Amino acid sequence: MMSRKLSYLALAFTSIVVTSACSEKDDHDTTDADFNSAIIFNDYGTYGRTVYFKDINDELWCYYDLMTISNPETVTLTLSSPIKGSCSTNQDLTTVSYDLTIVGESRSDNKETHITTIIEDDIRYRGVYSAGVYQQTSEVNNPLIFFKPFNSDVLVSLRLIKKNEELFANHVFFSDYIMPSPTELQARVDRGNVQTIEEAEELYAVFMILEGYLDHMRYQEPYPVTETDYFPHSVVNRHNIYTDYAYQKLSPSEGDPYPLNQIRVE
Amino acid sequence: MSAKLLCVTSLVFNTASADPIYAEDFDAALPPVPDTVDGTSVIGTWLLTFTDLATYEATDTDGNKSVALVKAVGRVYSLVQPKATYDVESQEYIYDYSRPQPLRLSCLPFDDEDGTPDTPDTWENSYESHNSYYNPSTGVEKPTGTLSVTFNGDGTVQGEGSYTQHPAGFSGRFLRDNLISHTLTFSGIKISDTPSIADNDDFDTTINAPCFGAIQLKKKRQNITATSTEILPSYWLESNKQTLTPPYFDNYDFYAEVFSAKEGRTYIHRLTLK
Repeated sequence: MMSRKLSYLALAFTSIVVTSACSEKDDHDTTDADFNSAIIFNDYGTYGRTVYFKDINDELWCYYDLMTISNPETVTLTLSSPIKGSCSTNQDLTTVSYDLTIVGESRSDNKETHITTIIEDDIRYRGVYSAGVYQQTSEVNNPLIFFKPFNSDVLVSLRLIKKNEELFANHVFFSDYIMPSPTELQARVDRGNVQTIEEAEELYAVFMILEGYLDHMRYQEPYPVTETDYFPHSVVNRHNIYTDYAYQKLSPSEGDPYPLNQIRVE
Repeated sequence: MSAKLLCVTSLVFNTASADPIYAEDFDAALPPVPDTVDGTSVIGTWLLTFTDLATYEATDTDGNKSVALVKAVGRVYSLVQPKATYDVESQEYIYDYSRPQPLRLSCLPFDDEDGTPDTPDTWENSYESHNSYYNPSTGVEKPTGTLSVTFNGDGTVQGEGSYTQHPAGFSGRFLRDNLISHTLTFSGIKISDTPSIADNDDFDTTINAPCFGAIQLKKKRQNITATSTEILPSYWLESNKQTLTPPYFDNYDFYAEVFSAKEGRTYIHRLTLK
């Protein structure tokens, strides 16, 4: 289910590779594609795009998707609540932002920049975007992932291809960081994963939730859910680069760090 | 491999030391297996002596690397417990002594930085524990280490593992020490047939932890070596606590005193084999 075919991506992005941005450089060691100090992507800034998906009734929804890379150590991803039909900032939109820690950068054979990331804590910022003004609200803990810390056995690649002033990228979501590998998950299920009473009690509680959660991801068709920060799960093949939805570079300000109204609506 | 096992076995059966073992001698031979234990069963409490050699690396923003080598030598008490299954209907745990669980090694110095081991559900006298990490956006699962453990059927055990970099050992991209790799070797003896520290008639103890002991760490960076002694698990020294009496082992026994300035009290971590 989770496997991805890089060869497929290579075919899809042949034309993009040719015009890959010259502002990217490759001046450090890249011996380990996952962990290294190479600074490959350095066109820092905030990028935004709109992404569309259909729900189980075949109705179209849209949300705003922003990515902020200000330094070689952190990525901030921001999502708006989904809007039925076309994206618009003529209404109040709730947002959720979360920080990813960069552990390495590498360049794939097809010139994709891979930024490997982890989440060190469940740090998410909620906000409201209203009439061109962003206001951060108090953080609300996600009851689904109360069992911090995040799975330290997971890192997630943010795959970027730059073309002119636009970026194409896969969609990374915070729940990716609690995802056990398929073999690990199966092993946990097979053996019950209990060594002590304390662990058994804890894991029992966790996996009753996690199993249901994964089932939801596996079998449900796309649909918007009331918990708006879950909805990207509904986007089919979200780990593939969205060729139809490019990021454009934005001009944020101190008072408007996530300028949704600058994003071109597809 | 067989020569190595013979060598370790001969060390294990050396005559017990009459003097307490302090940090500088943590690699001394263990006492013999007590006559009271059933060496044919792996389930019980074990005393291990281990050595771990680790490499850390920090990189500055110009790409210059700084390497630190850490040698950890120590002793820990560890458990092999039976499989416990929670029965939802009776709300009780059912123990299966035919299905031992792997040694509890969570207090070892680099264990938290290796990721979660994937251990087999069933084994008899040996097992391999594998570590890896997973990238859901590429679907790639990358192995990072294997620990091989062999129980000899006579109350002795050997283990050997090597590990490469894992997300759990990541501290920071620049100017922070990241664990790059380490190798662990240990040998041990069984000291009790009961797989518990606190609930064990063989022990007189103040301790309730499945893995504990002490290590001496030698950290070398650019020809400068720093030596320290720590008790395990590391949380015993959290929150402004300091060691009053350095940890020591005496035959099968352990002792350390830790003072908490914040709480104004002394913690005694003591285990005595009756």
